[in-house]
Amino acid sequence: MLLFSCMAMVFAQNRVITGKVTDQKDGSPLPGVSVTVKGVTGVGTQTDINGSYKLSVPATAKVLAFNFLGYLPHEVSINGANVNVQLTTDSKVLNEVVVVGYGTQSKRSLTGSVSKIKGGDIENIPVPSLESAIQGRSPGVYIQAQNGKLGQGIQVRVRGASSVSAGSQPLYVVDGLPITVDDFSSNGASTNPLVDLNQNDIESIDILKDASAAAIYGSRASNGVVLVTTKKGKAGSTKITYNQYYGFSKPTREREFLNSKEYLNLVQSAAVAGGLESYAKTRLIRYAAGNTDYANTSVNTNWQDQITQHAPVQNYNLVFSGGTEKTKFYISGTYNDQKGWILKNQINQYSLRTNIENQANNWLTIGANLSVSRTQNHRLDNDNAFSTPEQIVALSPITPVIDPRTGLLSGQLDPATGLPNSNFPVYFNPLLNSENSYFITTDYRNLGNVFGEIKILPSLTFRSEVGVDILNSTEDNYSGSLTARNSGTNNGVGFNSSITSINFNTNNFLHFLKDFGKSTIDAVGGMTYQRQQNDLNSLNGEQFPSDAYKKLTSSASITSALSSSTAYSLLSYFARANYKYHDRYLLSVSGRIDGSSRFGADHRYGFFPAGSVGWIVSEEGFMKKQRLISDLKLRGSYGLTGNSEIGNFPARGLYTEFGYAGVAGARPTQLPNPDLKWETTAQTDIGLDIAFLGGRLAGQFDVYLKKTKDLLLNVQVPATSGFTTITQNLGKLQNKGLEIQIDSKNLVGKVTWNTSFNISFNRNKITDLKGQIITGSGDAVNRAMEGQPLGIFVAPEFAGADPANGDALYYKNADLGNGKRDRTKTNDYNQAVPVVVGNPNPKYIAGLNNSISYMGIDFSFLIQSVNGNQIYNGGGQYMSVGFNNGFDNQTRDQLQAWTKPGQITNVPQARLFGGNGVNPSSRFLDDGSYVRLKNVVLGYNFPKAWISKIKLSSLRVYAQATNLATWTKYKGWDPELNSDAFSGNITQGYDFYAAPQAKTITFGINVGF
Amino acid sequence: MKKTKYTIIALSTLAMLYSSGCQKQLDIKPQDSVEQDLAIKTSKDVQGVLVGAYTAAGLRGLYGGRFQSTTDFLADDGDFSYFGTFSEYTELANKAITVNNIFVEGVWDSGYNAINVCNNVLTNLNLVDAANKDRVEGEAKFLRGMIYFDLARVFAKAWNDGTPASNPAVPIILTPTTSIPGIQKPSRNTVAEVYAQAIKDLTDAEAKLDTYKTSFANSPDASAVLARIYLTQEKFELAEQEATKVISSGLYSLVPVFKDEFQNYEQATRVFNSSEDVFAIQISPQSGFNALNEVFASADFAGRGETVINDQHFARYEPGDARADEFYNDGDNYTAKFNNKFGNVIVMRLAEMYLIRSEARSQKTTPDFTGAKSDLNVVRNRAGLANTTVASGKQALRDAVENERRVELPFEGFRLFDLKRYKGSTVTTDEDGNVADTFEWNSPKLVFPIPKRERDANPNLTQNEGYQ
Repeated sequence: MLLFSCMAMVFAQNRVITGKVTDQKDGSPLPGVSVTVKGVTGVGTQTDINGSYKLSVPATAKVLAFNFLGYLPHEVSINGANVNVQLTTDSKVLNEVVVVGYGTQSKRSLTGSVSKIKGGDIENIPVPSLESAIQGRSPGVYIQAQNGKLGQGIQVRVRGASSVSAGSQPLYVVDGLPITVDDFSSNGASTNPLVDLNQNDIESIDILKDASAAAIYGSRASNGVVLVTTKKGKAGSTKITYNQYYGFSKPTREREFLNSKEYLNLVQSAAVAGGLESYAKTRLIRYAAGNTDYANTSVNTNWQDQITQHAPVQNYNLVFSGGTEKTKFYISGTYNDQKGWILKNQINQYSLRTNIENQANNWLTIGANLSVSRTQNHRLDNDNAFSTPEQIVALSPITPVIDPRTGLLSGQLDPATGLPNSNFPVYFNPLLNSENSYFITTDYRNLGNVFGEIKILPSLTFRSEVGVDILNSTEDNYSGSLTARNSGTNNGVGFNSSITSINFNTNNFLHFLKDFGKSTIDAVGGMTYQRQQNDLNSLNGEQFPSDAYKKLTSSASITSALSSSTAYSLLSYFARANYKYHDRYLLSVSGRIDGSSRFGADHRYGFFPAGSVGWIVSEEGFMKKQRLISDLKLRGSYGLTGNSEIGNFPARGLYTEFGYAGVAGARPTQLPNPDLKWETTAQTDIGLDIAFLGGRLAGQFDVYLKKTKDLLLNVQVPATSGFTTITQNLGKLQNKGLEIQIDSKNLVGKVTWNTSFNISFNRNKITDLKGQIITGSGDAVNRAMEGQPLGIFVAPEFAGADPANGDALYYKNADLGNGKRDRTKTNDYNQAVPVVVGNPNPKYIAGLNNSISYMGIDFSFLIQSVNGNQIYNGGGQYMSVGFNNGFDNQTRDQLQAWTKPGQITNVPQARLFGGNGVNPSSRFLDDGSYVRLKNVVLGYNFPKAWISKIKLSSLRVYAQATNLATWTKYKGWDPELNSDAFSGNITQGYDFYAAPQAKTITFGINVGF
Repeated sequence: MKKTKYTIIALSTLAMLYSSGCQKQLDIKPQDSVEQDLAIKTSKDVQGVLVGAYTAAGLRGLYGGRFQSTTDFLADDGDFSYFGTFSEYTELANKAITVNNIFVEGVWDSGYNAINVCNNVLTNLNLVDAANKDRVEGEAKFLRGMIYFDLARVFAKAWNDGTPASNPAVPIILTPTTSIPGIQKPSRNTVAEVYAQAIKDLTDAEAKLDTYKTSFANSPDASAVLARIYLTQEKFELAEQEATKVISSGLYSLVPVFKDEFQNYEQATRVFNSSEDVFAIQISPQSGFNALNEVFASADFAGRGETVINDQHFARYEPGDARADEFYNDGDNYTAKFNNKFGNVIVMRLAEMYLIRSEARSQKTTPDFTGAKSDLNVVRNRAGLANTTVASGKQALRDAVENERRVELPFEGFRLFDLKRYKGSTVTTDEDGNVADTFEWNSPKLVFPIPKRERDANPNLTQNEGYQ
C-alpha cells in the first residue's frame, strides 16, 4: 500500500507533464497509479479519479515510470507535454500483493511462506464461518469442523499441531488487530467467535505459515497467523451492489441402523445368549410403549428422520462503496438467517460495516474500520448429552414416536406418576428437548479500529492504530419439566450468563521505504500493546412454577450465581527490514520482543527473531535467454516463534473459594511455577516459486521443519502432593512437511479455464515427553507419547470373533523382544496389550479448484480431500456391539454377528448386556479418508449491453452447492468430525454421535446499480 | 515544519505512555482466585482453608458418595445389579477393576487433595487466634485421620489379612505441598503405620474438639471414627469405649421413623443434619454433589436409574421391617435412601454406633451379651421389629449384628469392610442372578489397585497383588 504511495513534494521546475492512464483491457481510467521520473528521486504523483495526472519534472527528465498494483510497470519516454499510457494487467502470479504483519509486500519480493485467499473466492458460500469457506483452498492448512451443528468450534491447524497442552489454533488478526477468539460456550461444546465476521466483507485472507512471515507476531505465531483484510472503497463513482441468496440444507450422510424386524430378531437372540430372556421380554414390552405383542408390532420408527427439519438458508447483502481521491468508503449491511438441518438449530445474524479513509492533507491520512454485528445461535446440547439430537439413534425402532397410551411424544408423560417417563423409551427422548428446551447464545460484537498515518519524509511514515474488539455474549437456557429425565429436575432448570470481553489493542510503528540505486530497503519498527479482559456473570436456577415461566426471576432455587473476571496483557516491540538488491537478491530479518502478563516476572519477556533470504533467479541474465521459465525464485527462512495459550495465570500458585454448608472456604488449586516460560518453535522453510510460459503454469513448493521445545505441558504429578497436574515447560515435538500449490491457466481467451491444485503433507511427532504418556478424554484411546504423532490411537488390537464360541478376540501383542509381538489371540481383554492401531492425523490433504468461464457464464468447483487418517467411533461401544452394552439400537453391520460354531465373522456374538467386545479396541476404528465436492458454483452475468438498458451496471444470477457429494469409506455419518464433547489437542478423530455436515444448495442474484 | 512538530509530539507522547504505563500493565493479578502468598495470612484465612478441607473431603470422588458406592459395588453379591454406562461401576461390580478406573483414582486423588488442604491448615496453626486454635487443629486432624483410615481400608489388605506391620498401605504425607520442588515421590507406608497415624490424628482431634452440635466436626465425630478403627482392629474394649462416647454425648438420637432419617421431601431441597446424623457431608443447591443420588436414585429423583435392587436383597428383611419399605418401584426397584439430590451424604449415623457397640460388647474379652442385645434392639425396635431372640453367644451375636448391618446400612458404604471383618465371601452374578464367580474376603480382587496414573507419576509406589 505504502510502496507506491503518493510522493507529494512537488518541486518548482520548468516542465509540466499531463496525461491520462487507462486500462489497456477496456480503456477505463485507472486512479491511484504512481507516476515518477526515472532516475530522479522525490518527483512523482498519483493519477486522480479520472486517471489523469499532472507532474512537474526537472528539465533533465527523460522517462516517466508508471507503477500500479496488479499491472505491469510501464516506462515511457517524455515526448511533449502530454503522456498518455495504457497499462496491462500483470498475469504473473508472483506479482500479487500479500498482506504481512504490519504492512504489505509484493509476492515477488516475499521471502516467507504466505497463502492468500481472495475474498471473491469465498463470497456467498452459505457456511456459518469463514474457516469452512477456506477449507481446501490453502496448502498446509488443515481445517476440520466438529460436526454439522451451526456455529460450533472449528479446528484449524497450520502446518500441524505444535502443542500438547497449550492452544493450537492460529492467531486471527483483522485489519491489523488481533481479535478475540475465546470460546465462551458453557454447554460443553465450543462455539466459534469467528462466526461474527461477515464473509462478504472480506477482501483477502492471508495465512502466514513460516517463521519469516509469522515471527513478527512473536509469542503467538507458532500456530500460524491468519490475517483478514476487509474491503475498502475505491475512488470512483459510488457502486451499489445488492446480493441475495436463498437455499436449503440437508445432512450429507446417514448411518444405517436396524429396523424393527431386524432389531427384534437380534435383541431376542442376544437375550437368549445373555441369559436374560425373561428380563428382555419385560423391557421390550416397555420399549414398545406397553405393547405386549411387541413381536408383531407394526411400529418401525426411523428415529434419525425425526431430528431433521426443513432448513432454509437466506442471506441479503447491500454494499455501497466508492469515494474520491481523498476519501474512500465502504459500507455494507448483511442479514443472514440459516436454519440447520438438525431440529431447532438456527443462526440468525445481522451485521454492518463501515470502512472509511481520508487523506486529510499531504502528510496525514486517517481512517476507521468499524463493524457491528449481532449473532443469535439456537444451539444444541453437546454430543455427550442424552439430549443431543443425534443420540436419538439409540432409541428402539419398536418405540413409536407418539405414545398411543397418552397421545403424546414417547417419554412425555407417565400416567402413573403424572411426570415424564423415567424409563421409557430406553433413554431420554431428545425430541422432548426440542419441544421444551432452548439454548440461545447471542453475540453482540463491535469490532473496530481507527488509524492515522503521518508522512514524515517521503520515505518514512508513522502509523498508529487503535482498535477495540468488544464482544458481549449472552447465553439463555431453559429446560422445562418435560426434560426432567435429562435435566434431573422436575420443575424446570434455567441458566443465564453474560460475558463482556474487551480486547484493546494499539499498534504504533514507523515504515521506511527507499530505493538506493539498485537497493531497496523496506523496514518497519514499532510497538504494540494489547489487553483483553473478560467479565462474566452467570446464574443457574431450578424450580419454576410451570413451563410458562422461563426466566430465572421465576426460579425458586438459585443454585449458583457468580461473577468472574480474567485478563491478560501483552506488550511488544517489533522490527523488520527487507532488503532487495538488483531486483533479485532478497534478505529479510525480523524480531519481536514480547512481554506477557501470563508469566512470572523473571520470564516475562521473550525474543522471537527470524531471517530469510530469496533469490529471483529468473532476473539473472542467463535466464533471459530462455522463454519457458518466466519466473523462478528460491526462498529460505529460519526463525523462532512462541506460544503462550495456556490460560491467564498458569505460573501462579492459586487458592480458590469453595463454599460448604453456606460457609465460605478456600483451598489451593494450583501450585506456583515461577520458572514457567514460552513454548518455542524453531521453523526452517525452504521454498521454490516457479512460473512457466508467462505465468500460464505456476507452482509454489515449500518444505518445512518445525521443532517445538519447552512445551507448555500439563505434567502429571503424584496426587499425594494434593495436585494431579502442574503446568511446566517439558517436552519437544516436531512437524515436518511438504506443500505444493500449482496454478494453471489451461485456457485463456474467449473461454477461460483455470485450475488450482494444492496438496500438503505433514508429519507430526512427539520427540520428548520425559517418558510420560498422556491420554485424551473419551475412552482414552488417543494419546500423546514419545515417538508418535500427537493423538495417536492406542488400544488393544481386535481380532474378530472366536469361531468356536463367538467371543470377541484380541491379539495379545505382548512385546517378545527382538521387535516381535505375540500374535496369539485371547478373549481376555486385559491380556491384550494396547498398541498403536491408528492415527487421526491425515497423511495428506488436498484441494482442487477449477473455474471456467465463457461469455457471461462462469462455473467453478472445488474438490477437497483428506487422506490416510483414522476415526475412532467412541459411540461404537453402544451402537455397534450386538446389544452387549444394553438396549441401544444397533448399526446394521451387527447383523453379521456370530451365531453358530465354525462361523467366521468379525462381529462377536450378540449377548444382551454381555460385555462381549465392548471395550475400547481397534474394532471401533475406521478409515477416515474422504474426497468431497466442497463447493460448486454456476453463474451467469447478463451482458452489459442488455442490462444497461435497465440502468444496471451488473447483474449476475448463480446457483451454488456446498458439500454436494462426499466419497468415503467411513461407516459413520460424515468423516469430517471431531467430537464437540471430547475433542482437544490429544483427542482427535473421535466420533461420538457427531451430527453430519450440512449439504447446502443456494440460488442467488447479484445486482450492481 | 508543522508536520514534524506534530509527529514529534505524537511520537514522544506515545513513547512516554507506553514505556512507563505498559510495564505496569503486565502485572495483572488473578481476580477469581487469590495468590498463594496472599491466601494464608490471618487466623480467618486459615479457618477458611479449613472449610476448604471439608469441600475437598466432600468431593464426589470421596465422601460425596463415590467412596461409599465404589466399595459397595465391589462387595456386592447380587443384592443389586448395575445397568448403567459407567464402566467404572461395571468393573467394580464384576470384581475386575482396571488400573485406569477413574472412580478408584478419584478416591485416591480426592483423598490426598483433602489431606494436603488439612496439612496446609495444620502448618499454619500459629496464625490462628487462641480461641479457635484447638478447634481448627482438631477438625483438620479429624478429616485427615478419617481419610487415612479409609484410604488404607481400600488400597491395602484388610487389618485382619496377614501382617499389618508389613502389608503396604498408602504413603503418609503430613506436610503441605506449596512448590513444585516440594512435590514428593513417597513410598507406601504399612497398614499398621497408616492406622497408627489415623489413630493419632483422631485421638488428638477427640481431645482438642468440644462436644457440641455442629455440621462440622466435633469430638464425638472423632470418637465415632475411632470406634470404627478399633472395631476393624478387633480392639473391642476400645471400640465399645469410643462408641459409648458418641452415644452418651447427648447430642444424637435415633430418628423415630426409619425413613425420616433419609430426608426426602416432595422436591429436592437442602436439609440439615438429622438428630441421628453424626457426621454428614453437607450438600445444598449451591454446593456439593450427591454421588449416591446419582448412582442409586431413579430418573424421577434426578438419579441415573441404573442400579436396580434385586429380590435377593428383599429376602434379607424380616416381616414387618420398616426398612424394607425404603424402596420404590419405578418399573424396577430402587433404594429410596438417596432420593434427595440436595440431601446430605451421611458418613456416620448413630445407628451404626449402636451396632459397633453391640458387636464390640459381644466380642470383647469379657463379653457383655446383655448390653450387646440391648444395643441391637435399639436399632431393631426403631425399624418396628421386636427384640432379638438370638441366643447369647459370641458367634450368634456376631451373626446377628452382621445381618442387622445388612438391612440397616445397605448402600451406605459398609459392606466391603463388613465382608472383610466377618471373613465372608462374595460372588459375581449375571443379571438373572446366576453365580459367575466367587471371591473370598481376602481376595486381592477386593482391594483397589494403586491407580496407574499415580504409579506413572511416582515409580516408588508398588502395585497391589491382584494387579501386577
